[in-house]
Amino acid sequence: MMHLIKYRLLQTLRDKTTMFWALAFPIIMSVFFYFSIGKSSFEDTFKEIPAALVETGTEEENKVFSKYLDSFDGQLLKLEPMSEEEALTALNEGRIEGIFYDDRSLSVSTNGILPSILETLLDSYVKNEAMLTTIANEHPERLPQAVQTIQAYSEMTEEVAVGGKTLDTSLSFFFALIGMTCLYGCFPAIQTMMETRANLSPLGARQCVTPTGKMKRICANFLVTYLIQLANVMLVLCFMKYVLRLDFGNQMGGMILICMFGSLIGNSLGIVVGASGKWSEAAKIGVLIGICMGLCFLGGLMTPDIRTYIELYVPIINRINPAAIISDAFYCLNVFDDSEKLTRCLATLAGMSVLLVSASFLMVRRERYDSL
Amino acid sequence: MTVFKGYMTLVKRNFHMVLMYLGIFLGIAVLTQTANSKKTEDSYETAAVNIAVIKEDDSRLADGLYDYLAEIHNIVSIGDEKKDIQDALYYRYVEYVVIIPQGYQEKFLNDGAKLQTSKLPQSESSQYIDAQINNYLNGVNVYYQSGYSVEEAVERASEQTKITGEIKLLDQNGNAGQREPFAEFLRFYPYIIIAILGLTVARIMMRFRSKRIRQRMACSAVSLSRQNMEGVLALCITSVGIWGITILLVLILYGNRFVLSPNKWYFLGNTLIITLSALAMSFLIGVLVKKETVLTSVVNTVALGMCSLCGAFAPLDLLGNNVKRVSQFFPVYWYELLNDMLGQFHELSEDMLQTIWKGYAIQLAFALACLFVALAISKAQRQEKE
Repeated sequence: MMHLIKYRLLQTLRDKTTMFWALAFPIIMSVFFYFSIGKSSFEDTFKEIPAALVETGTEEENKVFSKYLDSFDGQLLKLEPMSEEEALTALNEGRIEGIFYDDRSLSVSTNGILPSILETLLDSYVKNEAMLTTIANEHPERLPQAVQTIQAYSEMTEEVAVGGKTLDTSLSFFFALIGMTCLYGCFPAIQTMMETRANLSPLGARQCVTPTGKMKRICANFLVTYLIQLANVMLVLCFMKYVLRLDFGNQMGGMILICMFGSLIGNSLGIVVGASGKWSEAAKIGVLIGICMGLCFLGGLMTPDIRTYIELYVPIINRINPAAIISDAFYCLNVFDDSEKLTRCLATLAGMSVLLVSASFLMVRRERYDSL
Repeated sequence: MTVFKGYMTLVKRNFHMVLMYLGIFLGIAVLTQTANSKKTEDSYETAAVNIAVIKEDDSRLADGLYDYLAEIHNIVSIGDEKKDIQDALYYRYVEYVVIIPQGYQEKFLNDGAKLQTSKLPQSESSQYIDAQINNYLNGVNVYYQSGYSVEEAVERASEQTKITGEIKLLDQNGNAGQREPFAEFLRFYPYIIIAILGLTVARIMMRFRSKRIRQRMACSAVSLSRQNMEGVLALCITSVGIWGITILLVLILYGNRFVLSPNKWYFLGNTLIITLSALAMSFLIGVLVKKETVLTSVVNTVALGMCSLCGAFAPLDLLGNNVKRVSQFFPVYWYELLNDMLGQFHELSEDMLQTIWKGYAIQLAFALACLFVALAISKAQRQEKE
């Protein structure tokens, strides 16, 4: 057995191209995610939203609103005075996101994110104006105090995760990415499985004539691919924590445990697809790609909201989808501090792995060939 | 046209794979569009979400805040134990939990104490709820500091929440300001086409690039350029076929909506050109990658990476300016820019038309660059010593 493991390990490690891409893919993706959806990308996103200011009158209160908007010019807004006609043309052409009128109204053409921010600015002004008007009428002696308090606007909420720890919301994408990396352990696993099938590869044919039992060979191959995949996932995790400086809290031990079970299910998936049917390697890889992408999508890699919809309408999918279970395990560890659900997630992953590996054993046991 | 026939034979043998990928990726696109369209409709107006308010304080302030949140969201009753909150968030019964502890009113008015909240990690609506609570409590604070009693301050703050600015949503595209739904679906198209072509076309290319096949073809009377051109032609036909199937799906899903859109020809042009860019990328990948086991990783890196940087998953509005400076080099960025523009505006100004033609040109230039690099590498591989 050790002999088989040793040479399988050497064979795999010497395939430098495969080893490189198995590690490079999740690292490159984590870098892309870091720059596109990570915290750093939001720091310079909402700057200088182009908007027009149309003056409709000369009332003093209109000028106050104009001055309020001017205070954001060059920071959140890129404000340009225009006539109404020019402003409507610019809005129609998409050169601006909205038209402020100095009678305290706003015209927009869509309901996207940038117009929502303009609406927030208007809303804030209108509310504060109403508040100060009320105070000026009812308690004019406290007006300076009111203005001072408005200027001292502060955050009144403090996010605390249920387990006492906070979590950057963008980390959910990275959890999904780690889940995807674990599942991608299916590809080296399917390759090793193909190499044990005599009818699918010449190496498999040669191995079949040896006295070494099929189960022993499969176990040795499975162990090697699992260890290598686990090492890859660990390296990706370390890269995210120490290079990208993502804040996973102090739960690295727990995260490593989750990665161990995640890598197990990934390899098991590859083993069972490799053992099934007489299709070519390309066909099986195609099936695996479809399965992995489908599972990762349903696990929230591309659209986080999909998990909520699935929970509402078909919750069983979230219970058996390995990508979703891996993500949930990370949440249980880092956010919810729920060891019971974490244990259930890991037990589900382990149970599914045992099921898949058992199925693959049943498919290939006692296979004999009349002629090769 | 022997080489052409050879390529088409391989395409025919792999056609079931193409159909499988199309089914999976288009299914993903339809589901993503369904999820994103709901988000787009609600992003401007405040959408009601399921929240939980654990009110341990019986003060006027706590009641006022509770009533305010109940008016705009769906308050779900859950237990106040840690396990109940864990379950409610884990099973997504609620997206947001706020706890108003006992004695909060005094602590807030005297010390400005903050409320503890817990959110579903992937929820975007929770950010709006934070802003709503902040605005309400700051309003109460202003009134209280201005000499009002707590009851009066809460009453005034609650009335104030009903005051909003006058906002007009101009209907420029005949769709009440919403993006066309097929534009949301087509936002996902670059990922579909790069993944499918990368996994099928590149695999076919790799077959023709294997050493023995290359050596045999090098001995033939057909010139290298002719071989490459026939190969490119065959793969172009395949790509256009896949594009056609996707457009057919758009017609099935959106019917008259798409047919009656005044920008439909621009949409068709945009999707066709990105298809050609994806083909060129797949051609280059097929020339560079030698092992099939590596192909999946390379294609996924290119497809997922490019699409996440260029606005296929997260809207372009959400990408940082620094990210956009880099992603402008990729054809997917220009595809998404044009797709958003065409989905938002029915009438296209001169500037918009110029942007459209510019976007087309950049995508085609990228495709040609990939193609030329692939052909150069192909020639170099032929000349290498073996």
